[in-house]
Amino acid sequence: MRKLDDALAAHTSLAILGMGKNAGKTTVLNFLLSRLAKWSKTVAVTSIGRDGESVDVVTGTSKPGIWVKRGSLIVTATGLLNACDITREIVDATGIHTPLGEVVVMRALSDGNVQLAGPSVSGQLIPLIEKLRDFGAGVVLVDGAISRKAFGSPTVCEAVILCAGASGHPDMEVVVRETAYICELLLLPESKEDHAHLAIVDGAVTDRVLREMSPKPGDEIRARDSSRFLLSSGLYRQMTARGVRFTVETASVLRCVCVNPFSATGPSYDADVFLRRMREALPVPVVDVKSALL
Amino acid sequence: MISLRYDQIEKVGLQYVLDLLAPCSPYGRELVRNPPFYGPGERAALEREWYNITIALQAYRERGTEVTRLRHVFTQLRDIRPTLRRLPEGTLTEVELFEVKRFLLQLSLIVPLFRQLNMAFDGIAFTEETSALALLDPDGKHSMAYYVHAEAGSPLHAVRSEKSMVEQMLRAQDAGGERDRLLEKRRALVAREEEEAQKARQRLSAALRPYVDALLHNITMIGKLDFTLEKASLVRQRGGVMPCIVNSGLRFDDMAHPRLEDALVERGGFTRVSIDAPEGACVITGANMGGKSVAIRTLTLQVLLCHAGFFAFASRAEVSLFDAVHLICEELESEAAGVSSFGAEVLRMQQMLMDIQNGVRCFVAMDEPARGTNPEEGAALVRALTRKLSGAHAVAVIATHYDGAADAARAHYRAAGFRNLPDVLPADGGINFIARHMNYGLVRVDGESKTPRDALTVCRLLGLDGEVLSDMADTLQKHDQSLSARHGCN
Repeated sequence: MRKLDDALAAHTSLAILGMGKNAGKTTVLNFLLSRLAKWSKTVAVTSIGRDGESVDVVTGTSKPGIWVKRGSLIVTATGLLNACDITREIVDATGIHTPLGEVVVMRALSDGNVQLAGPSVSGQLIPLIEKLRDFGAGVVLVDGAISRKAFGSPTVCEAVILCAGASGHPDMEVVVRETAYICELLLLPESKEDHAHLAIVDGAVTDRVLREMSPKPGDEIRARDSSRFLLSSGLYRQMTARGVRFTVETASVLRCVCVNPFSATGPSYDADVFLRRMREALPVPVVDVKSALL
Repeated sequence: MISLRYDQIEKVGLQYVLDLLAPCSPYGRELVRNPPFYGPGERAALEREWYNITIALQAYRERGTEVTRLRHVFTQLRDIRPTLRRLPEGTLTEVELFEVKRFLLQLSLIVPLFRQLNMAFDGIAFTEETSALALLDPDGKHSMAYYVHAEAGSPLHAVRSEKSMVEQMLRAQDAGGERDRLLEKRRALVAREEEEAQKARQRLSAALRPYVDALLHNITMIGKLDFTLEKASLVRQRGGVMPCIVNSGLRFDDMAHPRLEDALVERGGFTRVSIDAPEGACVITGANMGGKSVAIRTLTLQVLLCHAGFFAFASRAEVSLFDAVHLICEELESEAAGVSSFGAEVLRMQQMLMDIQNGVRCFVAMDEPARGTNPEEGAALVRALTRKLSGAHAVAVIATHYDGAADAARAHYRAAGFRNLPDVLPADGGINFIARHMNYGLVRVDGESKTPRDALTVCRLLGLDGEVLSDMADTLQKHDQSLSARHGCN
């Protein structure tokens, strides 16, 4: 748990990204919130899209709610206010409209359950995070509804916590492999040097873009940040094996990976085995939050 | 009522002018999207609009800082009219109450800033509504945030206190039976809190209802002030003159057309023209590409601007007031109605004539009417229209090529036409050559004047096929000879 505490201490904004649905993000979020409750920092919490619902609208499985402490700042939508049972004051109506209504910011005047619903466009999220800081937030937690790497961009949040779980695939090794790949992308090195073998891509680096570029061994493909790499793992591995380097202008900070051995839709993993395999495969600290809490 | 289709507003250049405005508030923006037009029965209101522009100009000159601060507050306003429309019959939600409180706090900034301007605006005044604000801000903290307040001793206060105690106990409680029991107790308290909060919002909504009209009035004032400041800003940028209302006809000296001026900066600039049109019909004739259409549209633009409470882009503006403006221009008539563009034009003419017959005071602008039919019949139609409109309680300005229309009009202007043409015209001189040698001004014509024939010159300068040119010249020569012979015989 120290790794998560370290993340909270070191950064004023953290994105919690899930490898897929039911990866355990909400459990991680609740844990982070409970840790922050012991500190004097004001917490703000938002999501990309919608989260915290009691039943997952996609898979129909039950999900843990989000419990906030008094003094927290919460971003939700007008359509979800009735599902939040905190005593609260409305601090801002943002003018950002979503299918669930206008995005509003409220301050918790009591502890209680909330459902989050923030903007789904990073261009709206960045100024909202600034606004949350203006309202007094010492740390902002951003919870993704579905894995969207764009929100791992360092322009949105200072650091990332990645969540991976058994719901991702019945085969543990597939989850380990895919998580390792995403970690590799998030950990791409920063590079600023100009040279003859450099190709800077302004937008997304997709399979199609990369094939059109047809890089040679020794070439460096540089994007703005890791969120711009939308490559299949196969092509990425093929290129790196060939000696192509991938770099970024601004590196992301991946603090740790949180694993959830419980599956919402199929067989769960052996918790100890899953934790061990992830620790072997990943270059960052790995935490099993729920087991540690139990 | 003056109402034009969007394509007409666009054609005349009014939309371009409106797009130059940058109002700060949602209420000002709405007025720019749908500017009100004033008719003959609203002279006082219209003159008040113009007067307020002069005051706004004075404010910009003498109180620029205060104007900037005021506009800054305007940029933060949200449109709360949907909430205010709900209030008479409904209970506001906590977000709606937040919006009303936020507006009242912003109003409490606007009122003293407006007072600091210390300008004699006519018909623009604000009320601070401190009592309404006190309902939403009982602690008087003036904080932008809103929550459903619970007075000490009230049921809401009591349930919140009890809930807070349970939450305090929950903090010390790990998962287990006692925690579940506390959570269950809390759920019941949550339900009671929601019930009491709903009652509190109902009471508050009822208490706010008497203030709806006052809030809507302030919103109207914000919109008017924002719009007026923008109209004044336009005058500062582009110039303009305060119009004056006359009983008949209209007169504009040195008219400008912002869109065309901006487009022609690279090509030698825009020629400002003047028109003094009496009651009845005024005809503009002249060379092809001589500026007749531009004159018609520029004049129509000034008429519309004046009726919408703007200054005119002119050095002098005298305008009588109209109930309706008819812009009849063949290229604007779509064939969507299942008739040809000429047919659609005729339908528009008839609408206009019906209006006049029914006593509607009209300004009519016709740009080359009846050009979509054969010249003989077209000329006859335009002459007949001119005669009819010359006797009407209207001001009609008609640009035409056709002979004889000017004879039936109350006033006649001619596009000045080509000037300083060399003796030998360059073949294929091009549009720029024409532009350099065209005098786009208008000349008042008294007495009979034949419609000038410059089409052949234009064709030559634009490099039309030599054989066609030669054939055209022959035909014209034979036509002239035949006319001379007929006059000689007579």
